[in-house]
Amino acid sequence: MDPHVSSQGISETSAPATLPAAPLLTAAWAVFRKDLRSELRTRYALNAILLFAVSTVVAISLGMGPLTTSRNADLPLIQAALLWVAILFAAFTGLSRAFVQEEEARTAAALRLSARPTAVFLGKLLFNLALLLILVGVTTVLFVIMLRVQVGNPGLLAALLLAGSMGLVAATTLIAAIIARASVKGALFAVLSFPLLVPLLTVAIQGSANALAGRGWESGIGSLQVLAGYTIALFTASLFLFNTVWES
Amino acid sequence: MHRVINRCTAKLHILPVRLMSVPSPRSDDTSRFGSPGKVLVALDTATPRTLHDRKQPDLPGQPFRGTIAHVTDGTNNLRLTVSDVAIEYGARRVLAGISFQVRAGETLVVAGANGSGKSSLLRVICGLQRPARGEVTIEVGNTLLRPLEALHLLGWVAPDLQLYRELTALENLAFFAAVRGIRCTRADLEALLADVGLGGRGDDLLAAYSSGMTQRLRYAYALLHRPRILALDEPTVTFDARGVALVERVVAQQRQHGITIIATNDPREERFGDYILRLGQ
Repeated sequence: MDPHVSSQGISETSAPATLPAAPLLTAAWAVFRKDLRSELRTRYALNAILLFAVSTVVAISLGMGPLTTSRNADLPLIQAALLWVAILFAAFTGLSRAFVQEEEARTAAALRLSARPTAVFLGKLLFNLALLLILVGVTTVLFVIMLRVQVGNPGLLAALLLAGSMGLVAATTLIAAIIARASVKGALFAVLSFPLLVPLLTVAIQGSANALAGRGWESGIGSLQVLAGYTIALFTASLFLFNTVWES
Repeated sequence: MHRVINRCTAKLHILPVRLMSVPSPRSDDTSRFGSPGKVLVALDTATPRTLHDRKQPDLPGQPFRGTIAHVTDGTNNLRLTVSDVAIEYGARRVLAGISFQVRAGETLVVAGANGSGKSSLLRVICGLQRPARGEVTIEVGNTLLRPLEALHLLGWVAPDLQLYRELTALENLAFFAAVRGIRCTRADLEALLADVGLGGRGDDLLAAYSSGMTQRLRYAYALLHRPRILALDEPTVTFDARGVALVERVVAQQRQHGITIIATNDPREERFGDYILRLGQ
């Protein structure tokens, strides 16, 4: 018999002491680390979004070739739109995985019984943000190289990509939780997300066009403010609504 | 196990409790309840196997449906109450009018055939499923909690319970300990794994586990936070003889610590219970 197994049953000393509840951020960080570790081992979402991002940029570059200002005066706007469309659709393929994977692997019940809903939401949101930032980084670098894009104000573009990514994640994480138990997850995720993302895309594309055109920070401050407001509003609403979605 | 029960029964007194109501189906609703007059839910008064000094209460005018033991030892400040719970899947009603109360030190076996609603009832008790009607409350001292407010008190083992196959057993337990706010070391978790018969296998991925090993890990997951209420759905499924012995030890220990609810369609597992609730008869 194993020395730890007593004849009376599970030994009292082997079960760790319980605290009333994990601190929220500690639990959220644990969810993030668990998702990251799972993703690095399975690469369910990472492979999907990177494949989509690379194939989109390659298709654009092959179809249009290097764009130069002599060919179109609205070139920065076109480039910014193409960049955000590539990011958006690649994000659609991967950002729902954090919740869909829990439901498909039927691990959601164990998570529901163990973690506070807010910790789950924050952990998943953080994981989606990390995933999206990797996607945005890879897509942007490929985009700049393959389409020979001139970035006039790299700092502003980076700030807009970061702010846009945060807004995108704030809007889509709750929707991912909603659609996770549906039968047509992929289509539903895009259908529900797109209307929410239209304001974000409009502002992000306009601001990114200014950054690509080399205009100063003052031309992007308005876009950054709108994106920050959008992110805060969606994050707050999602935080309040998530409990209902998760426990239903 | 018997020693524990005998110690408890020394302080036992008997309360009459309506274990469940059994709504007779209306004759105009046969599509949902089957043929008229068929009882959807039936109760076994659970002839006690271990609590040997029960008495039938004298309650004129009130049909006696069962008894429940009230253990008045140090764990008495815990009570699980299921009130008029109904479970439906779409238009199909699986259970209706289920009411019972279980207190610390007691083990209730929910028995019934496949599809009788045993697992659904356990999911409702654990807050994993909302009942169509009724409610589940957990009373701890003077505090009344819903299941979702009492996750720290609940442990669940079931074939439905899946852990992360891409993580090792230790990584799984460390994760669930972290989100529950349990401070523990690797040695603590290894000891817990050894307790459930998985000593030395903590660094294996779950994907490499057999079904019996996975079931053992479910017990480690459920016992990690020493829950006061332990819900076991088909507790010995996929287990060998040593696994069955593990379940016996867990149930015996839980008797000293809190409440155990067991759902099973295996008559041999009814021996674990002080009371038996039969569904679907």
